Amino acid sequence: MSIVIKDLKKYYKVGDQVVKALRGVDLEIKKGEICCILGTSGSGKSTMLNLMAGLEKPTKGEILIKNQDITKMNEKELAKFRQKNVGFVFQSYNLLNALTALENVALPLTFCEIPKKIREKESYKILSKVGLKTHVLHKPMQLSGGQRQRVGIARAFVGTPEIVFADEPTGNLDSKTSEEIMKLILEITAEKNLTLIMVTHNRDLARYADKVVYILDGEIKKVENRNSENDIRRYEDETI
Amino acid sequence: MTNRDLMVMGLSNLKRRKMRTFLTVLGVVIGAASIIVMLSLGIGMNRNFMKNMESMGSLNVIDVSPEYQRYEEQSSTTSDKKLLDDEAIEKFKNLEDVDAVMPILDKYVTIKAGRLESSIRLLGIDLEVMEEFDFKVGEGTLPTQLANNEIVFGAHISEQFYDPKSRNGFGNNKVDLMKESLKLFPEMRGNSDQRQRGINIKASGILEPDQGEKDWSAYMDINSLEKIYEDIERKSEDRSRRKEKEDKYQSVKIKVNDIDKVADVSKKINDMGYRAWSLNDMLDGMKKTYAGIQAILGGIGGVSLFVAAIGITNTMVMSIYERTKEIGIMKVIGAELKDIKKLFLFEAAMIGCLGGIVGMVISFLISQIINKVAASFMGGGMGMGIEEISYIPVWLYLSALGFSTFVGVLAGYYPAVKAMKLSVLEAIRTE
Repeated sequence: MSIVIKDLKKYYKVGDQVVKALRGVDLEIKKGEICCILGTSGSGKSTMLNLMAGLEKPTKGEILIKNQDITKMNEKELAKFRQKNVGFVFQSYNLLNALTALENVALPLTFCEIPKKIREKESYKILSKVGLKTHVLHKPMQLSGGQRQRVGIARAFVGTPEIVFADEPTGNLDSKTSEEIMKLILEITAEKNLTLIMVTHNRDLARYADKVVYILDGEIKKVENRNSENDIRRYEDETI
Repeated sequence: MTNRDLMVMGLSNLKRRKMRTFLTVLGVVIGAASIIVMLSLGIGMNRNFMKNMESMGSLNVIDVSPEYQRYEEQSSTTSDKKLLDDEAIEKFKNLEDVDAVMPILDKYVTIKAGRLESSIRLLGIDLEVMEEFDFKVGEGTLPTQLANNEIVFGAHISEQFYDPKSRNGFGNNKVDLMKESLKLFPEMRGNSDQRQRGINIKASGILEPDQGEKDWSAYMDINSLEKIYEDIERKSEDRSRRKEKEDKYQSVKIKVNDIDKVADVSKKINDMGYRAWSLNDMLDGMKKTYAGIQAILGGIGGVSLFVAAIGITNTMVMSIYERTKEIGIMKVIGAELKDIKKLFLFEAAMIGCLGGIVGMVISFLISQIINKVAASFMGGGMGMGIEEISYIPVWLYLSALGFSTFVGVLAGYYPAVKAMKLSVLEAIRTE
């Protein structure tokens, strides 16, 4: 499922001032690609992710996913669209504390009206894959940060999403755990042949991407189609 | 999201906030119970009133009498007068909603039992419809057409005999009507001094006491009674004064199949030129009064349910603030708008429904207590027909349950829409 973005603009009004979060962005992401949007905080990278996921409306521009312009969908259609096609990994995990790990993972399937038996089986399978076989009945509060993010990953990838959005997936984790989590994300992405769009300010994560988008002050500075250490280093030199 | 999953999720949400759910439900319990109890008082009152009315006579029976005419009119324009004759009876029978028609021949006679005698009202009626008009025998049987001159007596007739030759006529003169041989002396206009030979009659039975006019009358077959009078008239040879037009029957009783139709039928009969009267006429005014009382009582209960409804809304709104992030997450990972709305509506409805169920139980207990206390106040029931001050019919329970659930849904609607419209991004960012 390819994503095409054309002349995407997003302006916020803060008091009397207009903040230009995105000033006209064009981008094409191919199906199965791992895309990393790299930028400092306030660069507009999160806005871009939110727009692609249909969580907010752009001021101008088109976002074509599966040849459908999601900017023209209403709230109801967007909800349905997310339900069918999209998975999410958040920086702060965003698990429901009242539910067990298994129930959290099964939640997207619940919304899809998948029968209880099947969704529990699926959820168990993917929880085993992320290494939480023994923790399925734990509540989020009983899990460590890394474990919670594993649950978050399981929830994002359960079922048959075609795109997974990850917003600073390792932002709250130490470097060793980050490494593990990233490997896990990449592994499952590759296995399910999904499109992964990841937003981060951590240049290390860009190593794993097929395409790196450098964004600064609401504009795309550069798009790298192959991941190489050199490119990233060069970007660092430019921005610092 | 399937309804089943929705319900499971909604219930577990309520369970998670036990204290608050409990308090909100408690509000609804008080509201529902007060409505039920208040209305039960009104209904109980109404029922006692109806019972008293019924003991006065059947509510679905209309008494028809000939049109009242002023004295001066009587001689001149008698031809206009509508007569209560067989033709009229046929017309009544053909009216809609009429179950049975009973023409009545109303005579005063003297019954002699040995030395004792009594003047009583003897009504000639159609034996076939006796059961329809609620004649119940306490002793013996109802008269049949096979046996001649059989009479069924009202419950108090036996106490009405006196000895005309004795100084203190009314003493302990109770007559066993079933055993004594009885003679009947018709009372005729103008020839009371004429020595008559009594007609032999036989008691077929005594009616059950019913606290009404039936206790004080005797009944026999209308044709037999008619024949007795025809015979006497023939003998008296009063040919000169051939009666022109006279009502064949003094009155007619009409039974209507539905109490609600009594007024309709009454009106039709009045329009035909007769006078119709029923206990129901009296009831109408009373009914309006009771409806007023009922509305006031229900209103008092309604206020507390209204307060409870505000409680539900408040709880649900609070719940939104508390669950903002949760709602946001659910929306992002695929909850549809209607799922969120339904979830909140279901939770509110459950609070209402739960409150209704507990309210039902509580109001049942309160109603029992009220009746117990009231019974002890009235000295263990004076037999005056007042037994239950508070009466809760099944429909009241069910509609109270339905109503409180409905109130829950109504109270939850605003919060549900609010939750549904919550902006995903803002929701997910709140901590």
